[in-house]
Amino acid sequence: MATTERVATGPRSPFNGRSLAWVCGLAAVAILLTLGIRDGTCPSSGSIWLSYFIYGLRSGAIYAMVALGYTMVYGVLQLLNFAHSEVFMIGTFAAVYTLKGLFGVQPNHPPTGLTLVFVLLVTMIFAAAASGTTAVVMERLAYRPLRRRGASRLAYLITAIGVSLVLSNLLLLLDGGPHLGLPWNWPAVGGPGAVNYPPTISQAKWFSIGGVPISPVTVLVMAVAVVMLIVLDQFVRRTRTGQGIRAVAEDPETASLMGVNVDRTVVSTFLVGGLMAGVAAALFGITFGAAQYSIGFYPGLKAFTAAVLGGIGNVRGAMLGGLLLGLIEQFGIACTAAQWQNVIAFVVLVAVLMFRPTGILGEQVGG
Amino acid sequence: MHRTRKLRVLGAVAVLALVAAACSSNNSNNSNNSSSSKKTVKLAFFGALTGSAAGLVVPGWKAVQLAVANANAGKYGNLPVTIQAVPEDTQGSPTVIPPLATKVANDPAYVGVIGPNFSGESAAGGSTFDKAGIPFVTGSATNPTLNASGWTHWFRAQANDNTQAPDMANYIAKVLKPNCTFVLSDDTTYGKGLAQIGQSTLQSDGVKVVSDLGAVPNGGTGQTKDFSPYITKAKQSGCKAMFYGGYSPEAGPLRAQMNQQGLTTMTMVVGDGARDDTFLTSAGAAGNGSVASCPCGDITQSSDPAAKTFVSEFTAKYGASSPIAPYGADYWDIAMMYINAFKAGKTTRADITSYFAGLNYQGISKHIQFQSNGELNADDAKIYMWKDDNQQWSYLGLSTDVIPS
Repeated sequence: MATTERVATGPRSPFNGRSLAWVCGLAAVAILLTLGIRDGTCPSSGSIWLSYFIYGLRSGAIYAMVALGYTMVYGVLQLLNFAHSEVFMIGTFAAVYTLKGLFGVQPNHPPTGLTLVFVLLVTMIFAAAASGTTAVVMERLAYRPLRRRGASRLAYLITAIGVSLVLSNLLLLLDGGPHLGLPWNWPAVGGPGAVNYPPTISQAKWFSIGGVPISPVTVLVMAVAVVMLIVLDQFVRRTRTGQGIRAVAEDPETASLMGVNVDRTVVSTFLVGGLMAGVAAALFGITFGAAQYSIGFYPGLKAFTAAVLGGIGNVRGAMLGGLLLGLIEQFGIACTAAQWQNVIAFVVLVAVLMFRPTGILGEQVGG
Repeated sequence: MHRTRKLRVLGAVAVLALVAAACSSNNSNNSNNSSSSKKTVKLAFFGALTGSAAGLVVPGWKAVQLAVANANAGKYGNLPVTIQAVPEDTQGSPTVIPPLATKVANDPAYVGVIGPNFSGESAAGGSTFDKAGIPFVTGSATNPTLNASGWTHWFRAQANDNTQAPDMANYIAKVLKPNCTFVLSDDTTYGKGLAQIGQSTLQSDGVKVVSDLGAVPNGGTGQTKDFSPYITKAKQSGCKAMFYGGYSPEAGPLRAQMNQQGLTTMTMVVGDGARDDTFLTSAGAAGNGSVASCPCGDITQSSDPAAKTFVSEFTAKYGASSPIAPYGADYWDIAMMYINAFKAGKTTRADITSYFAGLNYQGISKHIQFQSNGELNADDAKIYMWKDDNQQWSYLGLSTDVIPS
């Protein structure tokens, strides 16, 4: 048995390296902020800071829900599912067609009261179902054959990019014209332009917090996000399927020896990620009013960034990363020009990864 | 094993069949109308025919098609050629245009280009056209730096932003007279250029400026959906006016979200890139009171008989609800430029280019005469002001009439 030599250290000082770095960092930010507010570069009004905070939470909530799909699939398969942005995109289309096609919502007659609640609920469920189905079908057709053949990580990655391109370009083709030399008109459900949502829940001010108007939409997004994130967290921690997902993420061979059906677990992972993305897509579409073939690209990229920031493979990390990224995007430009938004967000990401390469909360799926 | 091999063979056959079908359909499109005894010349129309910015481009394309159909039917006299107007959909993107420009430039059947419609794509594809010696005439790409490329086959039958942006800025300074102006733009050649010129004019007018140039990413594509960070910055400025340099797919939702965030007292002034139906519908009720400048006037108010004929033919063919503005009349004039060139016997690229260089033509939208660098004569370059009045563009007048000096 090897013995480890303990190097004698002095009494534990509260000023060890890491906490010192944190303190210095925070002090620097505080000093810069005070100087900035003093000379007018940074906002001095509390209501402006609150505005950045609230809208940061709103976009953060959506990033968090989409980030879960990236992080769970990575945890279980070590696959960066770049096609998850298209799973999100399909959800935005499902939501708009539920509103227009199933409920026939007219542009000047938004539903109100209980009808509105019912319409929104069903729209979110249908969007979740569409995204979930897309994710499951994607797994079955694109990724499982690779697993059967023991393909390399690179093959998974290229396939994921390929699936993403196929799905987004498929929606681009669905513009009502003939394409690819085929003798019929493709259905006009997508195309290059945006498909607009009819107005449903009100975007007008409902109440104010500290001078920032809050609309019913904002409340809806935050409320649904909180509920979905709690539900998912409990699902991963307490249910058998959730435990199965964590087991497969940790060690697929041992998990299967312990009686976990790996294939079924992988399908569940894709399904759950897809369901979350679908709800996020419905909320995104209702908030910003459009579905488009390319709408998944930026939310997907940002959600992926958020997942990495929080710890890729870690469910709570994805949630935290999403919220943090939403806030960083807003606060990051409080004192600078808005064109630096993405630069600042990625600089923060790089800085975090330099000090914590596995992300803020690390790599464990179960957190 | 047999089953997978069969599936693979079936898959390969299916792919080959699709490819064959696609290729054969391309071939059938290329077959010429050999029955006609006249040579066919092709004019390529470059612009965002689909996508979120299409509202700015489609009226011009429709006008070109109408003119060409009329010309081929003999309405403007006997032409020595049959004209084929070919659409090239660039989606307004500088990254999509290069291979399309190369294709057109290398095909000798093309004797002229109408467009490109946007400044970014003009900058990206212009050198290809110029090197191939094919004349290219734009009626809507307004960025002033385009003429600095030294192209000799480029013509701008339109006013440029050196006229438009100062008019927008002077409107703000002299009509709105705000406490300060928040200058915001997207990252496109057009949007950023417009905002830069506007900002310096505002400053020389003595208006306080808070600026955030190049802030909105992917201008013209409609990809940016969440404008809350820019709106919070606008709120932070406390200004009563906003100068926005960019296109309608962003300007419209930006305006709508500004009201949602409580920024109802900031008047938005936009350029021609946002003066279309897309802005009206996406801004909705929030757009009321927004002001747009445009080198495009209201052709329906023109007393010129040729303009009236154009308007009635356009509405007869496309319906009364099909917008002519922003650039229907301007691209009609460009199509007529080519038709007149053909009538004068100029059917080669070089001949048409020299014909345009010496042109002195009264069009329905403006008088057209070019300077040696391809720009429209300064006297012919006019800017008009429009206002969003309950989701309709209401014509205010010539900028020189609307803005006090």
